[in-house]
Amino acid sequence: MNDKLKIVAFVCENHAMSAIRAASTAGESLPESIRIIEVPCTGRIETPQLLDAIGDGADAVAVIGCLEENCYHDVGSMLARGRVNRIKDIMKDISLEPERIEMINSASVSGAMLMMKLRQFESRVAAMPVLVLKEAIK
Amino acid sequence: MSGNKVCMILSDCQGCSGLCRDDLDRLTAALKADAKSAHAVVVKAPCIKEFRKELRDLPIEGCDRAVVAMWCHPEQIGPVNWLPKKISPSLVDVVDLSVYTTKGVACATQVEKYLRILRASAAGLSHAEHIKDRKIPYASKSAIVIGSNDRAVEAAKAIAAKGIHTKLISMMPLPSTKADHLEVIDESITDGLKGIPGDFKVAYTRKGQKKEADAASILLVSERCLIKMNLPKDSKARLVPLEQFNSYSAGGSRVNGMVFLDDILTLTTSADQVTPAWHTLLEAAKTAAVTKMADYVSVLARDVKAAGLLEMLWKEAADAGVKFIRYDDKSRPKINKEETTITVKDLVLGDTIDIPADVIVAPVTSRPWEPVFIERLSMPSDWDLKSRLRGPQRGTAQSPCDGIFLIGYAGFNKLLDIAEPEMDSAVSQMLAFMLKGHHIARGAVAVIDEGKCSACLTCVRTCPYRAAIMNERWKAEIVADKCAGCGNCVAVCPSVAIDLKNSTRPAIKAQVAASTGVMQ
Repeated sequence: MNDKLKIVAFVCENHAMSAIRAASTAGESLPESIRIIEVPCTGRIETPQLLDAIGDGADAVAVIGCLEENCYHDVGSMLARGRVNRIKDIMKDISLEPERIEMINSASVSGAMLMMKLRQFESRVAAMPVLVLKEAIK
Repeated sequence: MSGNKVCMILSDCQGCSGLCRDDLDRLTAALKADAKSAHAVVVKAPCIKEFRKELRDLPIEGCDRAVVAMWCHPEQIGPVNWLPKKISPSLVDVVDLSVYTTKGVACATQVEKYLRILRASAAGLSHAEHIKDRKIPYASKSAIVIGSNDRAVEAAKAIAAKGIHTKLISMMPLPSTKADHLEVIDESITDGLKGIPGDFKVAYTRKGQKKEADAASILLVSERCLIKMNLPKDSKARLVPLEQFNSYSAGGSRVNGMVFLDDILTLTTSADQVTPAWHTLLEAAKTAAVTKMADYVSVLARDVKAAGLLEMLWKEAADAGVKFIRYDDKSRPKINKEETTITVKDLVLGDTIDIPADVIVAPVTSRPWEPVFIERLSMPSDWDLKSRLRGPQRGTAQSPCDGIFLIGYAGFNKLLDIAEPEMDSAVSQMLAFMLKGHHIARGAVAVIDEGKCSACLTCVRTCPYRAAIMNERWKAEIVADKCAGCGNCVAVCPSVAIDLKNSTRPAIKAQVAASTGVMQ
């Protein structure tokens, strides 16, 4: 079950990506289910792109950005949080679990913490029932 | 699958990857079999410079973009300029596979995963657009220093000493300062700042006349914390910053009269409304009176009511023997040169009195933010906060805009001795910027489709770099030289009129599709 899990992670190429790099250098490994997509800033991700990822067969979506008060591009993480919250509402409307999408903020130095959050997110998603959409695609 | 063909370059670094020869061959064969990446090539580790020479003549067969897959940090190989000339550096994606490696598992089991990651990366890259960096020579050869305190004058002199024509724009009248290449424009108020690095235009008003000055680089000197703690010439009194009062009082010296002043700028310039650090000031005055550091301890303040909330402290200080004297802006206290006294018009008595002042204690951090100054230059008001938070990316002297340097804006209010290295750093960075002679613009990264633009101004409001402006046709336009390619305007645009060259919509879509395993 866990092997087939697919979590699309939109990662900002600044603080969040350097956090992941730092953690991997320190010997932590990325959870198997995480599929990283680097974006210049989390503020670049549009609402349809987040929903499309679920539609394409991902079980869950994580948006990983800088800390809000310390965002590399000043406003990016803040805008992304708003979008993620909006998607949560939409997911409720179409009777999907809103917990399938999550915004995670990380400083560039707290890579280990970020990996822990990702592992927790993965286990939360693994406990959820299989996505109906996914069955339909296959 | 549409999109351009991507050349796949795989490092055969067995040491870093931990893959054996068979696995590497398996990976290469799978990549070659891929229709998208027809030109998978295994090369020797590109982190070693000697091997890079061989890469110049790689058979790329018409590809103009490449994925470089390796097992070390992208910074270790630096800029990728050793590939065949047809491949433009903006279309090279360096993938660090070590990030995705699961530690403690046999590497052979991870070949599938590497393959998936490289395919997703290639899918994204095949939809990326070419970004051409542009080299823009500076239109102007002069520098502008804005500020009116001693730091500004010193900084301007230091820059002019290197043979660069420097203009010093100051709000206050300055004593005549003469130096080669230095032009002092005093008593003028800056109205606005526009332009690009290398070609800034500063508008200012001098004696009612509107003028404009151009510069390649600008140095902004904060007014609030860098006042040299000097009294008028020939004065015998000693000035102690309130922030250093503790170390002064530890010295244990005794004087005749000690005056606590609400604002240091009272003595030197025409200050606007100030918010003194009343609590610290009253505590210090009380300490001075109780420990008998001076025979006469007095507090000179503009508005006594401002300290109403600290009534108890106020009363304690008065009981200890501190005298409170009010003055107003029309009749400022004056320091007498011959005797160590301050002449002030007491508002209660309505008479001019002399108070003994061997030591004058004043807070240097009392000057508030300079909202007016920042507004006039049309900058975001929390600029210095940003440059502080930017920490690793930006030094204290750098602003979010290339070519503009700051003194005294980063962090907190500080005394002169702390700000001194900041000035040196700002001046040297500015000189380095001036000597470079050209500015490299990344090229328009965000592009607006004018046909779709509905002129709603959302991008103009959102852009953290103020790169989005309205043009004369009343459509939004991205100033290429300011755009940092963050894409915040792309996602907020309600008309979907903007796309980002370094991360296009199809590229993200292709990457999501490739990584979730749905291939068209």
